Amino acid sequence: MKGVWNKILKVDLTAKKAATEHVPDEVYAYFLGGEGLAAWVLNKECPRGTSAFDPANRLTLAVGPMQGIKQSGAAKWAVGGISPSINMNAGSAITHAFGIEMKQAGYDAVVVHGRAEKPVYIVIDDDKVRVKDAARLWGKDSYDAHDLIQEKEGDGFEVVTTGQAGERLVRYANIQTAHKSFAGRCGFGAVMGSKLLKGIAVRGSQTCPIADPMANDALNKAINKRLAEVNASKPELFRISHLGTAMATALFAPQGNLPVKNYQLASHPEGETNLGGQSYVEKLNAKPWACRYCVIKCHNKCEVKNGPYAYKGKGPEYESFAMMGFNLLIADQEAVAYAGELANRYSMDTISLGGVLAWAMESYEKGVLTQEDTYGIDLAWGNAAAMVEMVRKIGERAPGLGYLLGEGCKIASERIGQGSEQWAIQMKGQEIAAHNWRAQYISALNYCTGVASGPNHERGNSQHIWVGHILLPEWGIDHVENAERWSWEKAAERNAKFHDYCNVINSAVHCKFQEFASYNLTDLLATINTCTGLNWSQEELRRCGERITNLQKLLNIRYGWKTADDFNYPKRFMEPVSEGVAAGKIPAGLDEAIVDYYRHRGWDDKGYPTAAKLRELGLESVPG
Amino acid sequence: MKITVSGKPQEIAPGTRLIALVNQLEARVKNDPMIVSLIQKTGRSHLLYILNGTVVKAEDHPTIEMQEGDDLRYVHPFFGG
Repeated sequence: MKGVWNKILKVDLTAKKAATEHVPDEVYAYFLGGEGLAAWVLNKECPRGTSAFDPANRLTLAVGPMQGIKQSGAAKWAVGGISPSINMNAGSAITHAFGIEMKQAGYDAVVVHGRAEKPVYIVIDDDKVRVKDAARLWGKDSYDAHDLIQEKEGDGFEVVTTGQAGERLVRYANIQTAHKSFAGRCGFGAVMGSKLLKGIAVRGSQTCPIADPMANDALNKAINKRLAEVNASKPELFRISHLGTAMATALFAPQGNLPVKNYQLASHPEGETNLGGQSYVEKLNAKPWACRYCVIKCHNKCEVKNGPYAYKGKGPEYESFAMMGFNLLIADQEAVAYAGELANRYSMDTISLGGVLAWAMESYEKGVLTQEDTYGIDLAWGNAAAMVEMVRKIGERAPGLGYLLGEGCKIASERIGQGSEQWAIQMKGQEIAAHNWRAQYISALNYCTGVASGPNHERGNSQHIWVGHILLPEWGIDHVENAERWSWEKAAERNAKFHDYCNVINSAVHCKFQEFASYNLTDLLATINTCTGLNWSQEELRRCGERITNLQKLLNIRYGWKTADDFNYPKRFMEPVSEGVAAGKIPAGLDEAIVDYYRHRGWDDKGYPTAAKLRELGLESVPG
Repeated sequence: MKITVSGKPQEIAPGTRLIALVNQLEARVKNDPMIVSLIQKTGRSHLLYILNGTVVKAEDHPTIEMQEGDDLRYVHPFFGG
């Protein structure tokens, strides 16, 4: 097959050895690459009983057939392994240029296992692989460690690192690259920390042959032109390169989609004024910061010039504004931006961090936590300075509450008790991202049934049907009525299609945000075909997504998933809010909808894939 | 005459102009709370229409006559999340 190297690099940190392994074509025809390939690695090498911090856990950094082509969105790549936040297989997407460089080094994946004796980083320079001492990097934040590695290794290397939170095993520690992009969810930074791995540098000089370079080139040019044109045609008020994803708060507010006060309220007027696109540009001096080949440019560089929150760096995205701002009743955009950048440096996912802090603030409000627990910090709703200080405490894993909050709100609430489990807004150990189940019931179904990364808004982004009018007409979702937001009637089918869609995107690998500028399944399929020569139809593409979903489900089961996990959702969403379009709406009937989803999938009523379904997908035995 | 609208085949009468399809699509989303909010704030839905891979300016909608095999899609102003 073209578009892949049929080769992965395996680095054993215990033995300090690296070796390449051939991967047969059948594996790519089954799972494409990226997160699908990472799941295949786990299936092959990590038996039942392997845990996230076990040296046997495989941390896989993977690309797919699309990396290396000059198409907007094709800088994306994937990280996979067993997650310390959900204790199951998971994946996370990240972008900029590391994946492209890894592909150019001649590998479809770098798989790290074992545990070093002392802190190390890995340097991959085409076929030369070295494991180097990282003693002077240990204890540094992720940006400083990144810069020191680049300085030491020289020009042309792309680098990933984790910060102190990764070293200290915060369960939602992330991996960063280029000070701008993060494999944010699922705690893979902590997996790096558990292996005493501070970073990886990669440089490559090879071009992976694709099936039809001329057709691919023409396709890339046409797609890039159209996406740029769409983006430029949007009014400045909605232009992503101008406003970043922060613009979404203004669009989500009227839909009741924002998380407010740990999902207790429907609106936060001061936040709606301050935490949005226009103030993002004016107060944070946001400037576009594109990933390689991207014409959309959703990342931004920001600068706060004066005051306690002065900084220059990565601008907060929608999820950071939502979870660290709205969810905490904080409306100070400079404080939220600064706290987000602190989290980035420590390497903490701002979605989980916002969820954890909301749990702590509600616990403080209810007297379950007091200032004796909070180092004297007044952890009241809306207290921006307290939020910033607690970010530091968690990043440093300060003894006491800072350490506990690094475990995530599930474990924290179980340790603290006193009913605080009731306001830990998490599933399977992972805090829930900023899409409100009351605004569209399909979000509830997605979070409960997701198999690719627990309750994840980008491993099943069916909320986009409603919040962004993203449909999948090539797969039969071509029109929805607004009233269907609050209906279960077609939810199982739509949810399944979006799970499979995310799996092909995350395995190809491509950026899902391109879809907001008109990128669609026709574009994706044509690109995959010109890269690989597979000449798939849309039905075959969907089947690939379905196959990856089922493999992930089998891995969930292997690592301990039980049916009850899908039904153990936060009951807060069953409490109605009194304002806005979602007033009075709760996803009643969710339990039945989950079972309906299982049946739609061809699984049994307990959520286990049937033998017939596995046969149909060719998964009785996995190739390779 | 056959065209494709949002990826779905559709039969239309010869001579149909783009504006007629745009009006149909706008009517479909008129109750969406985000669209309602956008119209209240700015007077427009801000949906963008892409005909055969090219964005069509609003002022051209009334004059364009649809052709056999045309592919029409629309994009919402939303981004992010």
